[in-house]
Amino acid sequence: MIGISAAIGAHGALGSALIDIGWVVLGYFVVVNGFYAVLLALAVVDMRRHRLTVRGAPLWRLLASEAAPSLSVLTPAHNEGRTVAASVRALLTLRYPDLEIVVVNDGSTDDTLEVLCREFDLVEIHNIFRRVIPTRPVRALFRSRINPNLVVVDKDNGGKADALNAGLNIATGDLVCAIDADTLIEGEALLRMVRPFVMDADVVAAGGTICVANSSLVCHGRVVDARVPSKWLSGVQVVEYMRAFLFGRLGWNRAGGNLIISGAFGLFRRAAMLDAGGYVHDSVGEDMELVADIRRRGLEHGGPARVVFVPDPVAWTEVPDHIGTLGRQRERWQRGLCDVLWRHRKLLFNPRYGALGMIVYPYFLFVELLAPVIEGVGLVSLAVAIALGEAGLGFAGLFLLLAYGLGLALTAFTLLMEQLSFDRYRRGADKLRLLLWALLEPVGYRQLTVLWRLRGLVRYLGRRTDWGAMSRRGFQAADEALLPGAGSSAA
Amino acid sequence: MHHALLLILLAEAAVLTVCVVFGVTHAVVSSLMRRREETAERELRPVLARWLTEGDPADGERLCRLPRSVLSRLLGGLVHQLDGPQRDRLVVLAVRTGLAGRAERLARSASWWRRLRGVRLLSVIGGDPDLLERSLVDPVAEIRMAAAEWAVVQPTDAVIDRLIEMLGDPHALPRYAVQDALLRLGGRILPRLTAFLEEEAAAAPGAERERLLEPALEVACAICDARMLKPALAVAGAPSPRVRARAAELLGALGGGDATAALTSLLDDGSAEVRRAAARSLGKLGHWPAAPALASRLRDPDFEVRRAAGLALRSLRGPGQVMLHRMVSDRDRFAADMARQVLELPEGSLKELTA
Repeated sequence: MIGISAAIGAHGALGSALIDIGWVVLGYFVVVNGFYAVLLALAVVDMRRHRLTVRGAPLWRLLASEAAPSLSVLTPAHNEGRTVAASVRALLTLRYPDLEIVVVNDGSTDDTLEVLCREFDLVEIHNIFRRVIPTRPVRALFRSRINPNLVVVDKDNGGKADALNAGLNIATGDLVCAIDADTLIEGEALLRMVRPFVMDADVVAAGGTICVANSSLVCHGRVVDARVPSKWLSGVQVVEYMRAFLFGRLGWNRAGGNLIISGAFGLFRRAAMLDAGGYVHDSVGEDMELVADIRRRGLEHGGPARVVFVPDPVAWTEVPDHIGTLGRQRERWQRGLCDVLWRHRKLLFNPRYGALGMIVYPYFLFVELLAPVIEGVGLVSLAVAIALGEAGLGFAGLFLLLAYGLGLALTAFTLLMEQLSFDRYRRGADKLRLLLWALLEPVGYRQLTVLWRLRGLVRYLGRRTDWGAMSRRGFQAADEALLPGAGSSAA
Repeated sequence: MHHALLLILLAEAAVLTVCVVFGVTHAVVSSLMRRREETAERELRPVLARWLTEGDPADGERLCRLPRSVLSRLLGGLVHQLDGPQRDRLVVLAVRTGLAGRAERLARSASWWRRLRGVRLLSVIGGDPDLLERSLVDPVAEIRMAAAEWAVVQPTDAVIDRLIEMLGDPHALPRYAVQDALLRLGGRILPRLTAFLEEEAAAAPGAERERLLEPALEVACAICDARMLKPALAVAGAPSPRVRARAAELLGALGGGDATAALTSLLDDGSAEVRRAAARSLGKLGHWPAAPALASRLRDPDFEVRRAAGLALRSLRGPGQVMLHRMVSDRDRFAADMARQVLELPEGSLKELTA
């Protein structure tokens, strides 16, 4: 008898706890989505201003002026012998008046260096440069005879961060653009990206939009025909990337500045990067760490500290289309986020850092980092509440539908914004496919990302620091002979 | 609670429906318009080419049928590549189609983005000079920038003076556009720029003066005329290291006995930036009597100065190389190291490194 009443009592206590959790989750849901709505509104305002400003602007003429800042593109290459020549050729054709390409051969064991020497007629030069950032030893420096703005650094293997740091020591541009070897940059992207640096001396870094290149046609290292993938996993990522960049990052331009610039395509003031000591070696989120560090230093020392997102310069990248690979990538991103937030914990609610400490950092902590925990707890407690009869199926269904609808409304707004401003996918079939992926993305895929992020959080707490294996399929070439990324490369 | 949730759900459904309907309508309409414009452009491109080369009035009439958006795009793309009568014909076309009048109306609008659009169009086809001068002092930085581009099309003395004053614009973008405009105007700005530099060299030092002088010296360096020697020598003693460094660059571009003497004394300047600029300039000028002074800069505490001095010595050829060989056994390890590294440089990379 006592046991039954104890069980009933425990059941009642659990029920009330579940209800309390439900309210907390609901409150969190309202606050977060309210913030998303604010970000979206800010993104719309910023996009309108941006479009009105750049419409009819003779970019190519003004930014191709002698007065334009010099720019170095850094690209690390490790065992990229099959694709490196095409990638470098694509970089050499980027439109920018004072452009230097620095390719860092990070201890490749294949014929990467030989291919570069052969294709670009490299000649060894003496390595007179200031080693501002310590790196693994630089074996040799080369300059191309046929493209004197191409510099190749041959160094011992030290990983992506070390390779970028070596490139940073050697680069001579006022601005530095760090890209992944498998990133395809649009021809005018650099001209567009430089604009905020020319406009505002307080801008220290800028990021551009990353689009999904899976299924798009690629020719000479350029996406010549943008298409929406027909496969579910890469298709939903198109929608996800669009939402993340067009309203997530654009909105932050007016809400305290960005904390993230994609490692695949970002532009920085070289002096600020050197002051920050370049990329850290012991973090899986080295690109975010650099941005946070540069902003923090800028605010501490009164230097430039604005990090902006420019929506129109586009780089295309191949996203994982295998669920295991994607899971590892998202888990790594979450570990990187944890690491960066921990390293810069003194920013939290610190008025000295202005909006960075009072809005941006708390958002990344309470929304980006903890959202999967709250979302996970919410889903589990809802399931338990239904099982115990504490919540009706109708109510639970309505709540889930509401959450689904809200996410969908945000996505629909983003898609509309993309169409009104850039309209990259012009075929009717692609637009319909995009709509389909937008409808499907909140079901299944969103829950999977919650799981991966939770796993990342747990593994970060377990001190795991590896990158996880990544595999890529390669771009779909318009002309097989011009295929730039047919092989596989380690991310 | 149920009721509230249902209401929110209905609102979400409404938002979604509006987005989808608007998106689909926009896609259809913009696709139709694009097709229409592409067809018109394709048909009239050969007519435009004929009009530009032959100027047949019948072709002009046909071109007036082009949609304004297409015409302004074609103008923007072509006008900078054309000159003489062909450019004039393009401007005539803009006037006949009412594009020029519309651009002037837009440039007078109260709304910033309309003004920007108007000034951008006028920067291509030209327009009322008063409007240009007014646009150069517009409160919106982007409009001042577009007006600076327009100034290249219609440069008067007053406009050039205003452009030079704008080198001290508080916003970076117009400053940049003005620098570009002045560079494009080239020799035409020479008398006004020289007069400005002389005035500024004689003026009392101050932050405002330095903010103007630095970009003005950069422009002067690119234009490079012997008349600028006097003001360059005067500002070589300015209190701001950045101004002194730019002056050193200008002196390096100008050359001559007075310039090399000033550059040699700037090698002992307190600022590393100035010493570096002086060393580079002496190297560029190939002024071999400065070799001993450059060699002593190999012991400079600043890496960039040592590097610039080493490269300058290398580009002096004979006398410089003798000094470099001597410095290889210098007691200062850093000086010896730099001398060795510079001597080992392959000949081909020198031009690139000293540029």
